[in-house]
Amino acid sequence: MSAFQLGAWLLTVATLMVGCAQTKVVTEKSLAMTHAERLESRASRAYAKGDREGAVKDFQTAAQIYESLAMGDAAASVQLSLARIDADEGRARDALERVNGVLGLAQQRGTSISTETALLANGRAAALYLQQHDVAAAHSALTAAERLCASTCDAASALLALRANWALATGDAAGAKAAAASALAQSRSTSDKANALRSLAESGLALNQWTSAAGDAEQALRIDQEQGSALRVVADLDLLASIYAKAGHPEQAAAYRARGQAAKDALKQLGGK
Amino acid sequence: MALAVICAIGLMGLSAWRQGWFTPTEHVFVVLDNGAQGVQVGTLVKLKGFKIGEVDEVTLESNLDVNVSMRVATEKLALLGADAQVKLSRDTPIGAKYIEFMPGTKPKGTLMPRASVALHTGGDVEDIMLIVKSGVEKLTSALGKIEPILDDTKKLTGEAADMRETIHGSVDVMLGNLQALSGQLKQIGQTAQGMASHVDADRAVIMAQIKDIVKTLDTTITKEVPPTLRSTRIATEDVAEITDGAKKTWPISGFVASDPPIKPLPLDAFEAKR
Repeated sequence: MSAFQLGAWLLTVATLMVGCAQTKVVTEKSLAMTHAERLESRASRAYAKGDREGAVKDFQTAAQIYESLAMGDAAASVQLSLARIDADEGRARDALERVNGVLGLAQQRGTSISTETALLANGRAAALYLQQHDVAAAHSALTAAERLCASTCDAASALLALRANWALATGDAAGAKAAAASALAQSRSTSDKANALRSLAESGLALNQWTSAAGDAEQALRIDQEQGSALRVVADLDLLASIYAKAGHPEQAAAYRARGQAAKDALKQLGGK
Repeated sequence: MALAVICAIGLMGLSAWRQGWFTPTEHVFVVLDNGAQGVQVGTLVKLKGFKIGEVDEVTLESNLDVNVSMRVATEKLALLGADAQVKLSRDTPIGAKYIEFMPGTKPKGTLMPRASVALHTGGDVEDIMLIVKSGVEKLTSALGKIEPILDDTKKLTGEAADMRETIHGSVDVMLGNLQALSGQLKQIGQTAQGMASHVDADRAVIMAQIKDIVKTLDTTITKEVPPTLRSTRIATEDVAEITDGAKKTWPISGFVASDPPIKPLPLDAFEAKR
C-alpha cells in the first residue's frame, strides 16, 4: 500500500469518526422559508454596502413571503428593517408608521412578537420620536425597550446612547454624559462606540468641557471615517465646528465647518448615500 | 541458412514465373525471303500491342530464306485466325523491331500450333512512311513553335512603328475622354439629386420596415427571453438548493457551520440624529 493510499484511508476514517461524533441537529426548512431568509440576508448585505434600493426590494419580498406563511414575528422584524431604511432616507413618518404597526401587533389578540422584536420596535420608535423632538413619546418607548433589554441585550449600548440623547433633549447634560459613558463602556461594535463617543462629546459641549468634548468628537470622527459612514462624518465635523466655535477657536471652527460643507456637497453628488 | 536457401529458391521461382517459364506455349513459324531484317532470337511477338511470345530461333535455310521460330502463349494462339499474318514493325523509327500478328478471321478456324504464318508485305514502305510521317510531325511542331515568335517579332516592329502615331492619337483620345468625363460628372450630379429625392420617398417605406422588424424583435424578446431568464434563475436556484442540501448532508454537515440566525437591521443611536 502506497503512502498516498494510506493517507486516503486515514482521511476517510477520520472523516467518518468526526462525522459520527457530531450531534448537531439539522433543521429542515421549507423552500419558501429558506428563500425568504436568503432574501433577508441579501438585503442586509446590500444595506451594509449602501444599496438601499436593492435592500428594500429584497426586504419587501421577504416580508410578503413571511406574511403568506403567517410568520408574524419574522414579518414584523423585516418591517423594522424597512423602517430603518425609511428613516435613513428621511421618511421619518413612514418609518414610524411601520414601527407602530409592529408595536400594534403585540397588542392584537392571537398574534405575538418575540421579545427581541418588541425591544427593537420600541428602541427604533424612541429614536424616531427623538428625531421629531417628541421627548415624552421617546421616553415612553425608550423605557419599554430598556425594560425588555434589562441591560443585557445586544442593543444595550445603543439604548444608553439614545437615553443620553433624550437627556440632552431634556436639558440634563450631566445625565447625558453618564449615560453616554455607560454606552461607551457597553459598546460591542465600532458603530456603537462612535455613537457613544459622539454623545459624550455632545454632553461635554453642553457642560462646557471643550477639551474632552473635542477629543471624543475627534475619536468618533476617526471611527466613522474608517467605517465609511459619510453621514456620521458630516455630523462629527459639524459637532467639532460647534465645539471649537464655543471654545473660542474660530479658525479651527471655520476649518471644520468648511470640511463639513465639502463632505455634504460630495455626499449630495453621490446621491445621498 | 535454410531460410536463405528457401528464400533464394522462392525468388528464383517467382522470377521464372515472371519470365513465363510456366506458361504453356506453342511454336509457329514465319519465313522471311528478304533476309532476317533485324529479327533475332528474343525479338518480341505482339498482338494488338501486347506481348504474346518471342522469337526463340532464327535459321538460314539452304534456299537463303530465313526461317523464324516463334514461341507463342497457347491461350493467345487461340485468338488468332487460321489466315493470320505477321508483319515486321517498330513503334518509333529508331525503336526495336518486333513481329506483329494480324489476327485474321476466326470463321476459317484458329491458328494451329506449328503452323507457318504468312508474312504481310509492305512493311518497308510502311517503315519509310512512318519515318517520313514522324519527320513531318517534328517539322510541323518546330514550325508551330517558331510561328508565334515570328508573329511577336512582327507585332513588336509594327507596334514600334505605330507608336509615334498612337501617342498622338492617345493624347487626342484622352482629351476627348476628359471632355466626356466632365459631361458624365455633370450627369452624375443630376442623378444624385434624383437619388436624394428618391431617398426621401423611400424613407417612409424604410421606416415602416424598421417598425416591422422592431415589432418582430419585440415579440421574440417577449416570447423567448423570459423563458431563458427563468431557466437561468431556476438553474441558479437549483445550484443553491444542491449546495444547501450538500451542506446539510452527513458528514459534511458536521464540518460546515450552520447559517447564522437572521437578524433585522440593528438599533443604532444615530437613527435619532436624522
